[in-house]
Amino acid sequence: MSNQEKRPYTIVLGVIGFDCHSVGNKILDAYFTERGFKVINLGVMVSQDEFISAAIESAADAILVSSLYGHGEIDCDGLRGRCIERGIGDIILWVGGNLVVGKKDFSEVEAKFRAMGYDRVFPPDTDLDKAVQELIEDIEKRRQKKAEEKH
Amino acid sequence: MSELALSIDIGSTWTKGILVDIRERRVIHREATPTTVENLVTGFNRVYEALGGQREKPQVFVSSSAKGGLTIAAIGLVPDLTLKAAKMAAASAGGKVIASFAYKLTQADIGTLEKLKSDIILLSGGTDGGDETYVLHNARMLAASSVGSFILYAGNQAVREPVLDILRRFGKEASATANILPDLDSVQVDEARKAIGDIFLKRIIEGRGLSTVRDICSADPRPTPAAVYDLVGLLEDNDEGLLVLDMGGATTDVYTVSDPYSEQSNRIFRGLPETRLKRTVEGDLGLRVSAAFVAETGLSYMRRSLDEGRQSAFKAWVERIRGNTGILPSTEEEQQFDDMLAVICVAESIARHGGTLTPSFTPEGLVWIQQGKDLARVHRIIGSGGRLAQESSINIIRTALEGYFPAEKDTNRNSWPQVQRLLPHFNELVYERDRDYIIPLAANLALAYPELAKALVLQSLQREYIHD
Repeated sequence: MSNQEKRPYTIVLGVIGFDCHSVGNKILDAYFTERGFKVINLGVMVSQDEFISAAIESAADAILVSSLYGHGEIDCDGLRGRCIERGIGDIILWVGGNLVVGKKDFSEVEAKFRAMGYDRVFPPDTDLDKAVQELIEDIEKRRQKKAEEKH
Repeated sequence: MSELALSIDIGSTWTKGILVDIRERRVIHREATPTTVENLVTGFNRVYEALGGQREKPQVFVSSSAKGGLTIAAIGLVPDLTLKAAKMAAASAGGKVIASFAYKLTQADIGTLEKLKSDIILLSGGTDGGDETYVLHNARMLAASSVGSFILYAGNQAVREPVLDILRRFGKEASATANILPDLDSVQVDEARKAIGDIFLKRIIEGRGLSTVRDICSADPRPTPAAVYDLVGLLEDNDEGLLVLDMGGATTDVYTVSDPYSEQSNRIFRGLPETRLKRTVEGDLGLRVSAAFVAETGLSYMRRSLDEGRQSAFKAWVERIRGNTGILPSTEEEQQFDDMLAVICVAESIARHGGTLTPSFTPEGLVWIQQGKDLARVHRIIGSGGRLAQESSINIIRTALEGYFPAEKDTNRNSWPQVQRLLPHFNELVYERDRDYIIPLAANLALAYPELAKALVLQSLQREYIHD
């Protein structure tokens, strides 16, 4: 174990593509900040590369992508590949919101986005307390793995 | 303390000076002599003597941009983040960015740096507490190279000590300053500016034989553009939004002090936050040294403006003057050609200084994405240096802002919204020229005597145009 001061859990937040829905984004920002996360909130209309650039400079643990306007499938595909290309292939990727247009079984949606390389997929009605717990677990697991790789 | 101030600017072609009565806020004498490149002190002494430096014992203030000015190579991590912030910091400190590198330095990059021999390498990367691996890699690459530039570290402060250790262990001259991008919401240039000013003193002033000059100065000599940057910050009245242009033979400098954003409901800002006070310098836009490149850049404007016969005459003029600072226009036609080159320099340098609006269609309708600074908030322009200080320079400004980028005005051709440049609106402007080219000399006095510096500039300004 390192004796350095523990880095805060650092996450990059934003609404992807040409999506202007800002309310949920602000709620997530406030919620995670209040629970001690270091939040880098890129706001609305964020491109894939902006998520990745911010994550690289801040050495973030996770990227949390929101999509509310139904174009999620188009906007979110390829993000994992670009992360790998730019040197943060192992970063935690989460996605949530109204990810597809029309009524589809959520398990179908989840499978689709998991296949794109997202570690967890969330529907619009998500329990944020539970999500915070899951995020901490995911981050701790990743940090531990990274520490083991170093040795 | 003497009530006289002597301000001398050692420029790339001219060494100029003024003797000023501090209390009366007026210029008593002025003097200029060609810069003596082989030994800068010779030219300096000539101006110093002519203005009575020995006899009057005035307070002395000096700036220099001689011998190519202060050259900086910028290294960052992500091009749009730390690298962009590093370039902003370098420009605000009066430096000229001659190369820039993102991500991991390669052997080829190191080769370029070894060849360029910039005065300073500004090494950045990572927000505070953010990425460490890239800057450590880049520090090791620099340490193992034969690069002799001074290395200023302005990256992630968590690895400040290890980075300095690596560099110094291999005998590099290096120091560290605050992160230019401590978090992604704020570019911090002030500490880096100070550090670059100190290195300028050590490497340029003492390194280029000017230590005797430093000894008689009342304040440390500065890079000319760093002094002008501070002066421009003082010149704005009532938040009007001010842009100062300094166009020379080799470069064109643009300074603004203005609100970077316009509040509009269907606009979204992208990228690093923009600063109110900002300098950019275009090393490839100047009337002589870079004339060939300028003509190439403004090709479509030139073709629109001249018939075919005169186009070849224009090209012949460019061939004659490129790289030759001594040739001045002697006929009306040559003057017109020179003014066309000036239009290109002004238009391109303002466009690069400012940002753009890109249309984007969303389920909520049309949204404009702003990147970079909105110069529509600029309502006053001052032209300084060479051609812009002369009469009728207003025509250059007018053409640069109204005629140079024609496609955007042509809305009928295509009803689909196009990318727009965020330029100043000519019909909302006041334009003044710096008749006596006083700005660099007044700038030297800006820190010690801000009111005096301002007054001297106002005396030199000639108002050429006021919007209706």
